[in-house]
Amino acid sequence: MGQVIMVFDWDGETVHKETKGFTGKKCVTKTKFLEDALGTASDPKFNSDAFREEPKEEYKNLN
Amino acid sequence: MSHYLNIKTKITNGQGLLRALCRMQLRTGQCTMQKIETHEEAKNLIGYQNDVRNDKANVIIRRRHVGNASNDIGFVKVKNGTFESIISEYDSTYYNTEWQAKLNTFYGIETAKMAFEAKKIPYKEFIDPNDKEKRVRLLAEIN
Repeated sequence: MGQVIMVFDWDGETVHKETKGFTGKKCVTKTKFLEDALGTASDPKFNSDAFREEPKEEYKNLN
Repeated sequence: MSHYLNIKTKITNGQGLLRALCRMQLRTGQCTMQKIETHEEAKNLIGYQNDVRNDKANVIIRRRHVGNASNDIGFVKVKNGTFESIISEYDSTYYNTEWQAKLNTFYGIETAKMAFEAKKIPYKEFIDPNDKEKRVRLLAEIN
């Protein structure tokens, strides 16, 4: 299960869409209906670590 | 994997526009669905002297709801599929660019909610108390 959060600027035209927790490109395919409903989207920027809260296991082991 | 992107909204969905209008404050009070006329074929707007104007619109708020000595406000669907507002110069003191930007923002919110509802995806609407701009957010979990 993945999460999507949308933030609506008060300028009346900009919506920020952010996803997390999806596997692979599902973050795009499972949430594209939102862009289709709202208007024109910018190119997506991917970040596999953007929402990681815990350090990676290999870094933990260094301590 | 995660990603983020920005979306530029355009008012193209009539139902989204109606829902957005119902979140707006008119000079006479809260807008409701009962105060909005919708027409498949655009109808003439009426002026403050009860005069029939050349401007036609598909979505109309009649002047009695707009304000004292006001003209009708309309939204007409143009060839590219977007709705354009028709607001007289007199009424644009209240229904100004800030009011219209707010309407557009509510359009985005309501249209996104409609998209979730169409797919039966539960969502939560909230404002982050730490956000100084008090922007509306929608959060949903998707299988």
